[in-house]
Amino acid sequence: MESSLIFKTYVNDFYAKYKFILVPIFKFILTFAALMLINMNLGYFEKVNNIIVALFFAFICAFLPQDFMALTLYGLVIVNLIAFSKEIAIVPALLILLLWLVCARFNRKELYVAVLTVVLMNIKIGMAVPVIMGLLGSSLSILPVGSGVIIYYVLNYISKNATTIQNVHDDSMIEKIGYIANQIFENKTMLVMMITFVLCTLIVYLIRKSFLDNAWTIAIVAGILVLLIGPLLGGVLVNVDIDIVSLAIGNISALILGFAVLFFNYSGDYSRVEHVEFEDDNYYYYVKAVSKKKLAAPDKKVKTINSREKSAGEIADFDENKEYEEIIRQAMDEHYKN
Amino acid sequence: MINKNKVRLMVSMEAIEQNKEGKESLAVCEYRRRDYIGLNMIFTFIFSVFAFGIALLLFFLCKMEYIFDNFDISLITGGGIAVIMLYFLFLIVCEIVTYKIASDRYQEATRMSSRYQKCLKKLADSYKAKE
Repeated sequence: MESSLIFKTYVNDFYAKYKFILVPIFKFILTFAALMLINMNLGYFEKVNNIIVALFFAFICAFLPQDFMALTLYGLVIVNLIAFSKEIAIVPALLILLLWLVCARFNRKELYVAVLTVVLMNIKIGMAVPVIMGLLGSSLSILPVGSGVIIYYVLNYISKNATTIQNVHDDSMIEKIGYIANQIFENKTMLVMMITFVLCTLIVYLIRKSFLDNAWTIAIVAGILVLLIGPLLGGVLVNVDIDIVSLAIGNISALILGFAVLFFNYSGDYSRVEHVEFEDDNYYYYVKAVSKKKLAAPDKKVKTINSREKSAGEIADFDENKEYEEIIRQAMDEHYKN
Repeated sequence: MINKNKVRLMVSMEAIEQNKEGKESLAVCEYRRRDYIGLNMIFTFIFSVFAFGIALLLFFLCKMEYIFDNFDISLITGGGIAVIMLYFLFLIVCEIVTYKIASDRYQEATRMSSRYQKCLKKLADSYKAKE
């Protein structure tokens, strides 16, 4: 127990210290993975369908705001579709534009979650996203999560049926567009999974924000239940094919990643809960205080044996700098506590 | 001699100013609450026009065949009324959500800004006391 808390403290300190490097690395990896997936599944635009271009865009997106990452990826998807066929590109392009507008208006800070959802769903662990966003995000996280699911199924449908779509209604553009629109919007699997993911995110968020003991753990378990029952119920009610193996892998990954997020982000000790009541001139306060499980990481002290003698001036300067650093450190700690 | 309290105050203020959320909060607090919410609701109105237009276009693309086969005055009239009612419903929902989000953001920004102002006041008082 103690070693896990020490490990957690080291990881959190490492992240706080090197956040300015780690965040761009994460954005680079996410953008690169998304671009490679686009190239593998679509890849109709030859000029961007290579690893050098993917590395270039990933490098740029690593240092620019996440709005740019989402825009770049959506733009490349649309460009690939236009390169394949202009009629096929119209409906997905309008749909992606609509989803981007909705997310950008109401939840701009989590645009990258839609991209993350598409990437993780391609490697069968997409079910972790609604659980993680329910724990770390807000109620508005349902927008990027739902958008990610829709974009995944649209791209999946087009990549698997591109040749069929191309040959259907070859002489009539209007009929082809109508066919594609119907196929996309009447995809019951997409509807079932979108509703499941949105419900899971909402339920995890609401339970996590409640005053229950062990709320985070209950939220994760509730989320997993929704992810299990939702697709199975959808399969029974609307006759949708659900891959049981993918469902199992998704749920296991959601469970593992959910508890990992819980471990690193929340350390409430429910065995020492205190309930206090007090009042001031305007309000009565009913407070539930949950203490944190905390263990300070052991500081390594280096003792030099054969140090040279310092002059009085050097000693005074050294002490003043040390005092100055200590004051700043205390002030930063107080600020982050608040 | 270093005044520890002044350094503490200045570091707290600098941490708010340099932080991305702190900068946004200070910018938000330059507006009055009503103006900030109103501005967001205007943006939402513009957004709702574009978003509803795109959604309507997608619906039209889906049902194009049916519309061309059954094109007559009653379809136009009924469809037009339905579109207008749906748009107002969509707009009302979007504006309610925007009002809630903007109110919460303003409240959060006010909290951070008041912390900043307290530090500033304490610092100003310490300088006055010194004089």
